[in-house]
Amino acid sequence: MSSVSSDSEGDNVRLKQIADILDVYRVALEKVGVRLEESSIDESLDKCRRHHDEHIRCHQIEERSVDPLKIYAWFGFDLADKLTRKSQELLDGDDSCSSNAILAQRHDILKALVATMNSTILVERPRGGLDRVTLNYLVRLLERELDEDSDHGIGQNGIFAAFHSALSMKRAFYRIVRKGWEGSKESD
Amino acid sequence: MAEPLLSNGMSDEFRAFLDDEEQIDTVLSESLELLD
Repeated sequence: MSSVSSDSEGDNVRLKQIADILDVYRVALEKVGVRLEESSIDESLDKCRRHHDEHIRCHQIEERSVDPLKIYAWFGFDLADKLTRKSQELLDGDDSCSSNAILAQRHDILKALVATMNSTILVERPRGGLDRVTLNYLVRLLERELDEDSDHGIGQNGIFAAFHSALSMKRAFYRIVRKGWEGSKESD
Repeated sequence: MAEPLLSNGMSDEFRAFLDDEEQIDTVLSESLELLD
């Protein structure tokens, strides 16, 4: 019984962390003027949680706290993917005007996603995130993937890996600044 | 079998960021300004 209770408590902590993490993305979406139906958000949130569980299992990850970069990647990419499908349906129905409007909204969702992921890097010491060219390049790579040109695109794992690598490098650089080259050997 | 990967995803700075609405607003604006 105690282990069930403990697991349940752990799940609640995890769900609270995911909700808090996604609140930042919601603010970014508001800033770019995107308003989504709550049902669509709930659907993406369920998918995000399921995918996160599978990711943790697949890669045998011992998770001490939820990685915000993963949650943003899974959740944001799914939102953009849904709009891609909606845009295609409209195009199939000869409504190119509405289809283009949906694609413009998708662009804003991806901008908000990349800005939110950049914020995760930016707030760590020393303060600072990725540069303008790189951030815009990442948005383009995501758009290529969603437009079924995966030879020139990246999906949810790709955007996670890009920011994860940037953050790891930033942390390593900061350790080296503080401790010299010995700092580069630390693994976290 | 490979050793489990340890993931301590949230830094102290990020945890503090989550509790600071003003910082969230400022930092997001700063990042969004860079995007076309």
